[in-house]
Amino acid sequence: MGNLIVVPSKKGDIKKLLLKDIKGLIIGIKDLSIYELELSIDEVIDIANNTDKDIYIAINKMIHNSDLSLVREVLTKVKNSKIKKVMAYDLGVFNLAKKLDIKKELIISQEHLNASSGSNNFYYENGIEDALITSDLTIDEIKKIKENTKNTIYYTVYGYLPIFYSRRLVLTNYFKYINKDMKSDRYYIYNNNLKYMIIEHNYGTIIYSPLVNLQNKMKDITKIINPIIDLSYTSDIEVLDKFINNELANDEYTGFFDKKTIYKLKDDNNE
Amino acid sequence: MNKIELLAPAGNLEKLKFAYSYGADACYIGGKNYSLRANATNFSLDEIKVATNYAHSINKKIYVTVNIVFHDDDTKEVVSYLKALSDCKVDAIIVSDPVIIDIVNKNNIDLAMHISTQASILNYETANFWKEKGITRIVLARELSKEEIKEIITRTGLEVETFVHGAMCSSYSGRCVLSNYLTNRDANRGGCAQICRWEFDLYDKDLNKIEADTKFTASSKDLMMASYIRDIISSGITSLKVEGRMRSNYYVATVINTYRNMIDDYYDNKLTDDKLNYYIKILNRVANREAKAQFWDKLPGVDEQYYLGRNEVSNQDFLGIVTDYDEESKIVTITERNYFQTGDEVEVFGPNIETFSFTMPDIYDSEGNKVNIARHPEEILKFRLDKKVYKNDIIRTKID
Repeated sequence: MGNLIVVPSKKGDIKKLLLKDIKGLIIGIKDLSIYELELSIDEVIDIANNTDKDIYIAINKMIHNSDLSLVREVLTKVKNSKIKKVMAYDLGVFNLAKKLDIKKELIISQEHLNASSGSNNFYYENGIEDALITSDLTIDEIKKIKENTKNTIYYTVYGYLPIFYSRRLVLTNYFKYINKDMKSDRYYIYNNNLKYMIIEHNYGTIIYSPLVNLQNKMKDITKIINPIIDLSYTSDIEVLDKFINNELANDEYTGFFDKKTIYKLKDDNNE
Repeated sequence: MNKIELLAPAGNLEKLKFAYSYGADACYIGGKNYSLRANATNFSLDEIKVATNYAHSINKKIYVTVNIVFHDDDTKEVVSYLKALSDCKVDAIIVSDPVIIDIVNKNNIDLAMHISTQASILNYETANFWKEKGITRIVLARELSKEEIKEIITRTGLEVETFVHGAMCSSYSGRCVLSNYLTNRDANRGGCAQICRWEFDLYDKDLNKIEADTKFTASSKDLMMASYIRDIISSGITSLKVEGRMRSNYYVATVINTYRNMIDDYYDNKLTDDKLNYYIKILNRVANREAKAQFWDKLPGVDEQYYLGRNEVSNQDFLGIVTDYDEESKIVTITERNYFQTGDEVEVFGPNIETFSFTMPDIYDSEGNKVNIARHPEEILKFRLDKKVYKNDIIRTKID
């Protein structure tokens, strides 16, 4: 069985995806996820009951007090189901899982906050043994984390990554300001010839990165991390075959894989 | 009764002293590294020691931000830095990354820890997660309503700190790396290039450009919760935080002095609607961008977004700062900041006086020549004033 874990974008693709040589699927839970496809927990349990592939659920929306009763309900149903792992952004979900004595494996998936060996060790020691690490790490940084932690590490190797998430309805507000109708279900801005998708949801607005594709880098990382292919807002499930068959791609956008970010514009130390 | 804490930003030692003298109960500062304002002046360890000693000598508190998201390379020298902060006896550090909590606990470093707003705590289960790790205070996400904040306080018993004034991120804090992707500057390590304030052409799904006079931006107006100050104080919040470690002395003095007066008036049962409206007017005047209450009472809409691009109002109210007052001759010496002239209606405010207004009398330069028009910022000027004022009091345009 392959090691790819796939986030489907359409319910209709799930059967096809489960026939491929992948490890499993991550499925967003309705009203608790930022993935394009969201299903109810009952639907996901049904999928898990009918496959030998791993099925994970994702609770990666920002969780307010009012969401907690649904989180509790979902976790309670997960407890005795065939769902393999629970992936969550908000630490409150893990607190609830502990209270409810959920024995499932937990994955911390704080897209941009989990960037060091130390943070992963902290989570490991607190019972969260799997971790999705931030997309703005270089391959060298990823290797260091792998060397210095016991966590099972996940990293998104394909997909539009959420790089801005606001509770505001940023597009609705803009169209009101310019007094025009908002007719499209997604919009785009450009910077340096790269295209960034903006989608407004009932819970807020997300801006996505250009399509990250690490197909050509897989030989460097496939033994280090569990690769996630996020098909949200893409229609090309055939790309999966290219990863499975280790095909090389044309020159693709690779994010920070080979490029360090900077943050201090002048050199200045603590002393 | 314990009064709610007023927590001020301080970008350097001078601003810190201004903030305390104008009414802050506590200040938060950043070191040269590990702080989310990587490109501010910030404090060396020696300066942190001086600042802490100064704060404690006047019975005030000081918190140090160690709130970047750490990469492995950033953690190399952080243990010795945290031990040094402990030796300085700072009252707490403000952290967002659990690696710091782990290091502090495993090395038995004597430091209280507050969770930064960068961690975007939005619910009571998350707050309780941190409480179990020994955290005593949480700085809540700025996206919470008053009901949500109250429920977190009730269900956790933790000290809760909330921002009440200053600039806003448009995104949930910590969930924005636009700066990384568009400029290679790491937002979560203090390098944010404020992309949410940039303007862009917007295209629909067919890549047709949206034609409009105003370009697309995600920019938010600033935060100002003054109009809800009574509700805020009575909600059980522990600390009111003002944003702005990179702001001017005048801004810090004005905002802190105004919130100080509001808070004191509230506890003295003197906060009338007229007074509150006056305070709000002062806060509006000092701001260079329009400010709103944002999430406190409703979800922000179009009125809470900022579409004026980089056009920000340049404030000319700050006329000068008192450097000396001779009680015998009743001569005030000031350093000028903005244009004014004899006959202008002005006012003076400061930590030791009730704000009062007066008509500017004849103005003299440092050589004793009558000038009557102040038009050279940083010039030393003198004039006669019967009422006593103090060093670091501020002269500003009269606010009716």
